[in-house]
Amino acid sequence: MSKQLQFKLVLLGESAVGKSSLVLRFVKDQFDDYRESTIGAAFLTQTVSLEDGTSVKFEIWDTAGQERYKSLAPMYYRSAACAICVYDITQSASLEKAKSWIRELQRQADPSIVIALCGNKADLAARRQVSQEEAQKFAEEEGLMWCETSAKTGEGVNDIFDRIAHKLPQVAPPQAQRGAAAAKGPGGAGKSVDLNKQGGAGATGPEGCNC
Amino acid sequence: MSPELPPPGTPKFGPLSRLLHAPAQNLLNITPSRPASPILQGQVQMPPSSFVEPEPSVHSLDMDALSLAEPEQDPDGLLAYEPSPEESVISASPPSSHITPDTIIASGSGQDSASHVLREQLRRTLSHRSGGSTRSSPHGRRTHLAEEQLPLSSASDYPPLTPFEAGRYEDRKYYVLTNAGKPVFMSQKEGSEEEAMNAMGIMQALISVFAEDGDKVRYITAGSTRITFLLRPPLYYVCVSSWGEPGSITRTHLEYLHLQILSSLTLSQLTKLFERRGNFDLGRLLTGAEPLMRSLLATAQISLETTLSAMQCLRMDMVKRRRIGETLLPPSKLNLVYALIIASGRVITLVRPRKHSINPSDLHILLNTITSPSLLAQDAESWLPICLPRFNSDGFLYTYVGALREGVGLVGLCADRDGWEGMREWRGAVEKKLEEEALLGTIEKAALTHPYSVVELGIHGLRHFVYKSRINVQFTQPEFDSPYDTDIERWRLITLYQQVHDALHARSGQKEALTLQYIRTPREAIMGWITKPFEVYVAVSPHLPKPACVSAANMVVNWAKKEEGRLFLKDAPVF
Repeated sequence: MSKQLQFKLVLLGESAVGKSSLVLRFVKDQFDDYRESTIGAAFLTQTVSLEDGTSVKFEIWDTAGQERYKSLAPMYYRSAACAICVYDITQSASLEKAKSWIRELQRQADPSIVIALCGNKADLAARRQVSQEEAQKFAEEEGLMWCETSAKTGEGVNDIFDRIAHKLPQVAPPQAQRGAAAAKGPGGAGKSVDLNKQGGAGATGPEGCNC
Repeated sequence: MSPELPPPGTPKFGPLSRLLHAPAQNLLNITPSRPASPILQGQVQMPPSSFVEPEPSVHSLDMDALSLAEPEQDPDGLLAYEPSPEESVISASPPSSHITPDTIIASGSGQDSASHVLREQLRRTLSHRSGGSTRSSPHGRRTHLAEEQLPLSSASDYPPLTPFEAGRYEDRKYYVLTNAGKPVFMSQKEGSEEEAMNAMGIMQALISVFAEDGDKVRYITAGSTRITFLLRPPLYYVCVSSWGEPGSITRTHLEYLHLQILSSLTLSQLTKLFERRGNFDLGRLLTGAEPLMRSLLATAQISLETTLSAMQCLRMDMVKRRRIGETLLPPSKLNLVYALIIASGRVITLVRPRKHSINPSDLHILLNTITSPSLLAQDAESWLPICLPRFNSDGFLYTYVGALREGVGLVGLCADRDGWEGMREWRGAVEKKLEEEALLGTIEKAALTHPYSVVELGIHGLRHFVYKSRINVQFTQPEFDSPYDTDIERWRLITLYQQVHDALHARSGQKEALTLQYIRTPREAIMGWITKPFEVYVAVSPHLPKPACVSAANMVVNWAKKEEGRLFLKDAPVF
């Protein structure tokens, strides 16, 4: 009997670093060259199946990066099991912003939250302002996962969600259970049907999307 | 030449007069921006009884909720044009040669000297006019339109626009700046930033020259171009337009821009930010909101929603619409403020607590915000704070937007920022009911069959019309068919409607509101007619005799009465 787990994931980071594009790549395997800024926050789900038959369903909050929405962020990360703090490798200021999100999460979020630092727009390496070494070093010091991605080419995108999906059941089971329960409510019945379908398909990545 | 109306309650020459030499005072046209339309050819005032007697409506007042406009009380309460005695209209002869960015900028670095120079410039510009021949019309447009009255030389009932006429419809330019002169927004994407900064600097200087005298500048007219100022400190709104629309229309556009900004921030937050720092850089804080402002303005150019302060809902079978409304009724624990279903950017139904109406401007801002494509893409779900300024300018409502189908959105607003889970449950329940009754298909079909052609009405000579049910605060109009199927022709027609609307409602300080107005250009005749239950505007061939035009309007009214059930959202359930 395969296990089904459900986790809340929140994306944080400065505006225009590519948070929505990352999610769109992960959930629908699509990319828009021109995307309007997110208003408020968008909610999406995607399921990842692990080798042991466990399926991990992410309930993703893709938050708006603008300063004026900052005060709303706690609403999204409060019960999150994991967070991806995104920066743009061509904008060093965006790494600073990501670091400040990380500090806020370390202070305010659930202590067991899994945090990943993610440098997006890797396809624009020619205009790189943030070196891999610098970001990786910071991630190591803070005990974070780290990766570089390109939502445009898809490089590294499924990889980071996979790594989080593998890590979560090990490090954060109690928190995850709570998160799952909180997110469930009466709509939960429909969701578990989805999960079974997912398990049956045994798919990973975008093909596995049934949302 | 149209008579210069002695404006009712002409404001006393305010402190501004101190600025001017005596002779200039006569020329400073402190008049309402737009006296009765100059292209009026014949204005017939008839008692409504000569038309089909409208039946006073005794029921269906639920939606008066939606209403700001109980006709006799307040035809335009929403964005009321409030003639304010301190404000004045400046109508100067083309000042372009006098006030140019170069002169202003070159004239001095300090604020004081700049404003001094500006004052001098204005003085000179205004005095200059006294040397001119006569009191020419303050609006270059007027002369121009008068030319349009020349007898028709050709038999064609639609002479093509001259390049000069067409050239007037270049994009209006909108600017938002802080009262410290910091740019917040400009509608044009192209053009150098530096130029825009300079332009906004001049605007700020102009406004402050008058402000120093306790005065407010409302308009500057230069040739056929009019610059409109709306001051909502700490923000200033400016529009440059040469379309010839009534001033009330431009002000409404600017007012809506203000509301759109408030919807992202709330008034209290805006005030606080500027109390703390007078030179706060609001532009940065509004990053990402520009597309919303652009879409708002894009709609304002081609739609009469803001002019009429009314909504256009999706045409649909009345019974089905009622059923859809019933499926939205939320469980009481949800504390919903409003719930609606939209498709193709139009409202299908809107349910609300009893005695809890929605203001049309709030609805307009809400629709503008949530019809952004990414919110209504397949499967999308969002949760966004939005301030509806007329509902509560100091707080956010948290809005659930879920796409039931591509382009079909279920929207729920509540005051609880943690209301997400409850909203999702509600969505699940609504979706299930809609699917069980096959109503989602109905909605998708209605979205496709919503547009209709004026030809369907079969009214001779009728080219286009706008019918507003004042009781329901909603309007309907057919597609813009030929000859109004190009941007410029559509803009021109809309501007004509707006001129008639302005005259009917006496928005620009005209002596009195009218019941009926008929204007004719070489290309069409437009008639506007207002009664208690409805307002109708028809565009007909200019060769159609007046009685035929009147009967066309009557036929539109009869048609709309017959179709009312499909055209308007009339009895949405309340909870």
